[in-house]
Amino acid sequence: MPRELLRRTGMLAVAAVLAACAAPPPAPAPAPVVAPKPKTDRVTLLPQADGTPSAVVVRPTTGGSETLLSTPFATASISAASVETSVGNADQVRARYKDLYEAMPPARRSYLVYFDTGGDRLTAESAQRLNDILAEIAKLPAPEVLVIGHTDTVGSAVINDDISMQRARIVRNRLVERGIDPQRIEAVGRGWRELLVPTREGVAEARNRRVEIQVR
Amino acid sequence: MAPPLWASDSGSAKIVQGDVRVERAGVSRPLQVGDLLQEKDRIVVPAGGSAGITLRDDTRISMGPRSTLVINRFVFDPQTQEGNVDTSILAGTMRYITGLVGRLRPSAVRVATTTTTIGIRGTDFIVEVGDAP
Repeated sequence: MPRELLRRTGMLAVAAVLAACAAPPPAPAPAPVVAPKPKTDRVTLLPQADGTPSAVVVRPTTGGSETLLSTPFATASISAASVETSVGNADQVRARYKDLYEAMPPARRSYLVYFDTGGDRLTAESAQRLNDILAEIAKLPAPEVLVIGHTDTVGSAVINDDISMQRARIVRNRLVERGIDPQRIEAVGRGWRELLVPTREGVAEARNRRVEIQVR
Repeated sequence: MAPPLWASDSGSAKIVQGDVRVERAGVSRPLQVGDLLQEKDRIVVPAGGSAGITLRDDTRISMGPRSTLVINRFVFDPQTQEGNVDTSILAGTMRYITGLVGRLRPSAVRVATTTTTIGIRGTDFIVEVGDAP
C-alpha cells in the first residue's frame, strides 16, 4: 500500500515525507539488517472552519517539553527520542488522511422557522421552508434533533410557555412524519425566556415567535 | 421535563464503513450507524474500514483504517456546557474536532496516544499513531 510505504520511508526524516508526497517514493533499498523502527506518532493541526486561529500543544508522556503547533497543516512527529515539526499543505494532508475527511460526521446545524401570532401556525414562508429543512435533516446519518419553541411577549408567561411547547410539538410531529426516530427528538418550550429580539412585555415581535431546530 | 433518552450516553455512531466493532465490558459487537456510545467503549476499525462519531457536546471524531479509540471519560452538562472529554487513540489515525466542552474550557479536553498527550486550544487536528517497534 503506497501510504504505508510512504509512512515507513518517511519515518527517518520529515524532509523525506515532504519529498515523497511530491514524487513517488524511492524503491526501498535491500536491507538485510533493519534496526527496529522507532514508534513515531504524528499530530497535524488543521485550520478552523471559520478561519479563527487555533493550536495544539503536544507533550510526550515520558516528559520533556511541550511543542506548540499553531500553523495550519503543521505536523509534530513524536518519537521517544525527539519531537520534530514540519509544515505541509492542505493537499498533502488530505491525501495522507483521505479516510478521515470522508468519515467525519457533519457539524451540528441549526434552523429557525417562524409562527403567526398567538398559536402554532407557521407563517406561510416558514411552512414552505420547513419542507426543505425536513428533507435536509432526513438525509443526515442517524440525526439527533433538539426542537426549541419560543414566543414573543404578548400574553401571560404561563400562556406563552404553552404556546412555545405547542410550536415545538408541531415541528416534532413533522419530523416524525418525515421518518426521524422519535426517540432521537427532544421538544422543549421556553416561552419568552430567550427572546431573539429583546422587547418590553406585551410586544408582538415576529422574530421572537419561532422554533429553533438543532440537529446533530 | 424528562431528560432526553440518550442523555446517559456519550455520543453515537454516524458513519460506519466495514466491520467496525465496539467493545464494551469485555464484549465485542458490530457498531452500526445510530448506535449509542458510552464511557469506556473501545471502538475498533479494521483494515479498509472507517468510522465517524459525534459526542453529546458536539465533539466530532473520524477514525481511519486499523484504528482503535477509547472513550476514557465523558461528562457533559448541556445547561452549563461544562464537562470532561478524555479519549485515547491507541492505534491508527483519527481526526478530532473539539466540541462545546473544549470551547468553554480547553483544559477539560484530553486526547492521548500511548506516547503523547495533546492539549487543545479550540481545534481541529489529526493524530496518527506510529507502528509499534
